[in-house]
Amino acid sequence: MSMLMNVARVIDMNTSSTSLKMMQTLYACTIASRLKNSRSKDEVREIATRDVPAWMTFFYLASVIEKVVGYCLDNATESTKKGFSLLKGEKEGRTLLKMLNPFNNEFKVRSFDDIKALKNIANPQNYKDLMRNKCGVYVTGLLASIAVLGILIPKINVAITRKKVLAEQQKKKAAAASTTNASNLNKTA
Amino acid sequence: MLTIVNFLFTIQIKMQKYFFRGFSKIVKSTFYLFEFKNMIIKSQKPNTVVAFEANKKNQQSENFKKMSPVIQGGSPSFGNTAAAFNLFSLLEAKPILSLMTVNLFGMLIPRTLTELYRNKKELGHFNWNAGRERLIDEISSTFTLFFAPGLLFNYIGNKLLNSKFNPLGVNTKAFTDYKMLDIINNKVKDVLLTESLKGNTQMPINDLRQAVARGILEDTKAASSNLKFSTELIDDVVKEVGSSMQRANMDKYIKNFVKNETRAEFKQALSAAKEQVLKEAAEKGIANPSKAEVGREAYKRAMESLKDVMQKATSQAQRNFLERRDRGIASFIEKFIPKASEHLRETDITIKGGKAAKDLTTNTNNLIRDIFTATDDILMKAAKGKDKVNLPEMSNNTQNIMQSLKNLKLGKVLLPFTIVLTLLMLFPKLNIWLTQKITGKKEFPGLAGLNTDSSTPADNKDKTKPADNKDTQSNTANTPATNAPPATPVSQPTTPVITPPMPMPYPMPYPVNTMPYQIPQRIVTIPYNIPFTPPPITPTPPPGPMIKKESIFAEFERRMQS
Repeated sequence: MSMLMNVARVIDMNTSSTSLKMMQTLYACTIASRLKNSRSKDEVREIATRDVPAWMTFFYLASVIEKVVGYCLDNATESTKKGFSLLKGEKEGRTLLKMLNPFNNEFKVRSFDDIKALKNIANPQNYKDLMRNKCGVYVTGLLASIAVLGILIPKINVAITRKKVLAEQQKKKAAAASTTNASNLNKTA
Repeated sequence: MLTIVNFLFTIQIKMQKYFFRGFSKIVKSTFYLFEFKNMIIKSQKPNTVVAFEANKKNQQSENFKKMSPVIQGGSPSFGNTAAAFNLFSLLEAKPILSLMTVNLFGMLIPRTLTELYRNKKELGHFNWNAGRERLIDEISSTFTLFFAPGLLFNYIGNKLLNSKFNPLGVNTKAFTDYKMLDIINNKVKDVLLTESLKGNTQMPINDLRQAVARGILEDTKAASSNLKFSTELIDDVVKEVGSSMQRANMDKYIKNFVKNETRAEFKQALSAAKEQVLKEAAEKGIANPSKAEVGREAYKRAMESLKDVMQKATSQAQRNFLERRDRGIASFIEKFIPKASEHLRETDITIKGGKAAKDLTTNTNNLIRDIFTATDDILMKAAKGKDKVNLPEMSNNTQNIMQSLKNLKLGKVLLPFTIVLTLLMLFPKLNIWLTQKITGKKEFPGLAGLNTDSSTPADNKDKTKPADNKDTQSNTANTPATNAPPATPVSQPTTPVITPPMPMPYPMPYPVNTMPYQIPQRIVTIPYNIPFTPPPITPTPPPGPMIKKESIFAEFERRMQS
């Protein structure tokens, strides 16, 4: 019972919309189910190359890209260097490597609401830069995850399968040719 | 180039004019967002609140006002930006919406299209099977990820589990997570224990409520953050939270009070009204008036006759409530805010003006209201309407309510989860079954076109393969090593066949010397890039005996012997 309680606490759902943890678990289960029901080794490989990276991309890529772009924009903008920056946390300990870690919650990009709360506190230029940078960061993250999920991963997947299948066919052809030659030689002998 | 630009511009204007005015605004505004040169401020002020106030007073931030409609409430020159800002902030505020957008434009549509165009060159048409399979897969996963849990959560939670685990009707909307239940549970336990240690067996319910609230706030005070709120802000928050709590509780209290106060009078008035209605019906000549109609009419009349009494009771209830209400709540909330703010918003803002930071406390207000509403609700339900409660009884009742609420939450989460898991296991199977039913093949449709064996229709394949094998088997079996006349083949193709052997687009499935003499016409598959000219079809004579090729050394040996 306590184990069930712990599971329920992890995948907790508060409202009618699915919680992130529950969605992550369900998506992982979807991948497992697809793998279980796959019909050939090609399909297994396709699911592994398409859905497993998609899980990471779907849930984490946008935040990583947002952090990286936010870090770059923060460094490039004068007002964010002096005033409030787009990323939360200490300004001193920031490195690009830390931004690339999807599980590092020390540095997060401020939300639109957070920035709006600064409207009368921050310098106008700083606030305006924050808003502009935030928009850029958000759109970049969204578009990047859409591009990776919808274009890059499926294209790579199809290309890999195509290459593998054609290579196998070539191998089969070569094997058939060699057996033919061998049998011819045997006959003639 | 100019023509294209002109054309696009015309389309954009038309779109804006007739069709997608809102959409085109959003698109346009996203471009404005990145137009940096329009966003330069003429006079930059130092980063202080005082400087900003001075700036505002001197009206030197006109440019800033123009450039930032979200901040200043929109302006004609840059008003379109607001739409994009609002769209993005809406998407960000609701992560599920954002994920759904990514799912739609990053998974469902492009993946289906990729599968549809897969091996199109080889097949000569769209790969409908692969496209359909992917589309169904994506739609089913979208449903199970985004909609099914919520639907089941609501349905199972509200229709089935609520009546079983929450018979007292505690307001479960206030319980946003387990943490809140734990906090309330621990505090109620603590307060009851301390009271019993003091030697008390009874306690007024209002004192208990205050003690529990104070306990919660004192716990959180220990870990208060560096955030400093002005008294003005605290007053605002207290007023807002207090009034909403007061309103909610007051409504309930008045309803119950009036009901209890006027119960006896209402019963009398209702029975009198019923008699009167029945009398009137008899006078009108209605023999058997329906019970529901009589009841409705009697209720109306009873309420009308008791109007004055009800009003009196309501005003009395209001007075009572105002006397009984929890006056200490303001100080509790004042202590509670820093912790709640730290918990909800991890920002490094130093708040200087009360009103400036009001936005920060929107969620704080909700949290505080939820915690206090939940605590109050549980305690009032456990007290069962008594003003003075017995401590052991109260402890038991509270524990029971807490346990049932925990079970309710567990059921509301785990049941939908298990149902969705089952669906997840079923959907891919159904999808594969559907593909198999439509195509008649077991193969993965993504390989169609690449693998020529799988691209041949299954029916033909099933019918042809055994026949071919039979032919070859019979031929090879009946061909002796010597030149003896062979037995007649089991099945002879009746249709005209092509001679000599055709170029095969795939490796031979059997050794050449065991290959049948004639190749049936239906096996021929033409690769897309080789121009094909069909050879002339001539009727062939029945097949002769298979002659075994002599070894090249045989002639040599014969000569040596001679």
